[in-house]
Amino acid sequence: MKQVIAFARTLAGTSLLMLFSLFFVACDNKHKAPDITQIESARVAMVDWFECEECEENQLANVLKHSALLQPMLISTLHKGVAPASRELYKRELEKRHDELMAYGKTHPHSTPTLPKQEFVNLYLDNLTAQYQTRAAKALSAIGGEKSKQALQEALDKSKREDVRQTISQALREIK
Amino acid sequence: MRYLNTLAVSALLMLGSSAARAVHWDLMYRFCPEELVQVPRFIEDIPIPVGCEVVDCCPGCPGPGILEWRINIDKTMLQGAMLRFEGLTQQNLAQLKIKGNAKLTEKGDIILGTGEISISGLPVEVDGRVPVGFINPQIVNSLDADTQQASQDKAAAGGRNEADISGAIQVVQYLGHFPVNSFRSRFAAIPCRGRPTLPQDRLVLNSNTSADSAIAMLDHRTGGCNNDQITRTAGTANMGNILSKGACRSTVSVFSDDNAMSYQPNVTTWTDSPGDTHTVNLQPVITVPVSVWVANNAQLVIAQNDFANANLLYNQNNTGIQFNPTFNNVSANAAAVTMIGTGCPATAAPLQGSAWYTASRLNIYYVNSAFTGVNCGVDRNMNFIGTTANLGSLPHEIGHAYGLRPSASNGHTNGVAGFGNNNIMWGGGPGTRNHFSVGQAFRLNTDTTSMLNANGNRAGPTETCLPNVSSAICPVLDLDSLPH
Repeated sequence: MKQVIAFARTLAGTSLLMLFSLFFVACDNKHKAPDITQIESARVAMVDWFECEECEENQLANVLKHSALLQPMLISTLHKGVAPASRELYKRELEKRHDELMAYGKTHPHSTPTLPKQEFVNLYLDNLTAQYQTRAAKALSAIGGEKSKQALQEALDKSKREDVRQTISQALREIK
Repeated sequence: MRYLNTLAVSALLMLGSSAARAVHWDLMYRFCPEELVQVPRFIEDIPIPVGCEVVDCCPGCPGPGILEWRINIDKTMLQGAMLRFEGLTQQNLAQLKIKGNAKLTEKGDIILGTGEISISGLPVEVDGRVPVGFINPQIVNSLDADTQQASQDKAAAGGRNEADISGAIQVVQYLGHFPVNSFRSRFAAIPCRGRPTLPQDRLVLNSNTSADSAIAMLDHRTGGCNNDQITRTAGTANMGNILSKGACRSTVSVFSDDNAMSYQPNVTTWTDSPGDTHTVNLQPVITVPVSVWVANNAQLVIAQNDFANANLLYNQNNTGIQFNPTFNNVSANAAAVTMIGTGCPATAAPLQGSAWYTASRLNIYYVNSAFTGVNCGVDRNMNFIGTTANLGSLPHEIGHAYGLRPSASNGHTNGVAGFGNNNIMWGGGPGTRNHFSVGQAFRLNTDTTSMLNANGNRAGPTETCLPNVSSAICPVLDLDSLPH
């Protein structure tokens, strides 16, 4: 009987020690900040996913490798779309392209843009915002969890574009 | 530690394939320096907005704040650059801290030398607007002797593209220790074909519609066999003395605005004596009929503007192809919308057999689903464009239809050596990407799998050239000569 009690004590002690160690390791990991290379890899993976055309190069899988790091940024993107600097760059490039098309249309009339510059720019800028938002929704759906679900629900209530709402609805239906 | 982190990130950015993705905007210029003498403003200012690439900047970033630009200008191809800012006040400019080989002028421009430069104190917003820097790179007047010799040695060893000399200007924006945005412009000097002064053999281009500086690509024999030699001319080029072909290939390909690409794979004009003239009678641009099916009414206007843009890009890049779309708005026809669906079908037959498909022709479907675009494996004449498409989506998908596939065989140029994300076949990147290389234009036209040939739009000789295969017949994919 004593041997059993001693064994039980040892087992309990070992378990406690293991639990304590696990807790300590977990705490240590929790407080160990990811290094800058990791952060940059995560950021780049996310941009690749936002901007990929057919997305055949595992872009979503690469985002999911960094899901804990990226979830807050994906939620922000779902709500806000494109960052001001990226929007500014695309806006300027679209304006320049419209100028080029107008000039080209003088000698190639079949290629004249049908929209005035501002509408042309706004149309494609809106598509970029929708692209970022729908990609963020799909990634959050794949990441899953309560925070993702809540963010998707809020975005669904706020979104004005039909295609964005449809994508968010589907993301909510398929969320893990 | 901070230095090590910076080094690690810089290494990531400067590396080849996977690293190219780390760059928000990655321009690639490949040219013969002699051409730049004729086109002094060819290298445009590079716009770089001050700010993060994505909302919230980066995971763990300290929140919005003042940015630092770390600029690196490689001296191989560049002697420096001029930087000017739009949207910064005099007070903002006065508060910038500049380290390295750079100087703020009285006008408010910053003269950048080569090497590493830091500019800190950059606000991401001034009066509600994003400030934008414009960098104008200053290309070296001539390459130094050692670099030229190294290039000639490599060229003599037969490695045409390996003989390229490249240099870059790179700007990485930092928020604290964290990189949050980056831009790169790379410049590669291709070995120029010498310009013989004596009138010996000549290449003559007839009917050059827009009288542009066309790109002639030749395989021929001089001392030994020469592969993919590039010459620029609007009409007549002195070629030196090209010899009879012997055991070498003898071809002439010409890429020109507003003319079809000309490919002559078995040229017998050249003899061992000087005085030969080879004439290429350029033909009108190939105009391809395209059936456009608009299943989502809101996208009709997008389809029209997408095609205007596709025509500009395909002509600007000397592919010799233009598109003549017929827009069919079937969005009010429920049967059509159902049959077309919202993406590539699992099997092609039902749609092929419907009234909403034209056989032997590119069919582009604009559908109500949130994706960019896709060219269908079940039928390369089927292409779907979604509601979040960008300006680059349509020309990109047509590129796949026209032989630049599969994606994994460099049909996508992501991270492929010699390409930046300004290339149309980059699988994403800026919506305004605008570049096809000569190697890509060759395949668009001549590849046996290109629907341009399969649909009978082009009748010339064909070759089998996967994008990632280069040989005596198939030019390396990134072969190029800018400006187009």
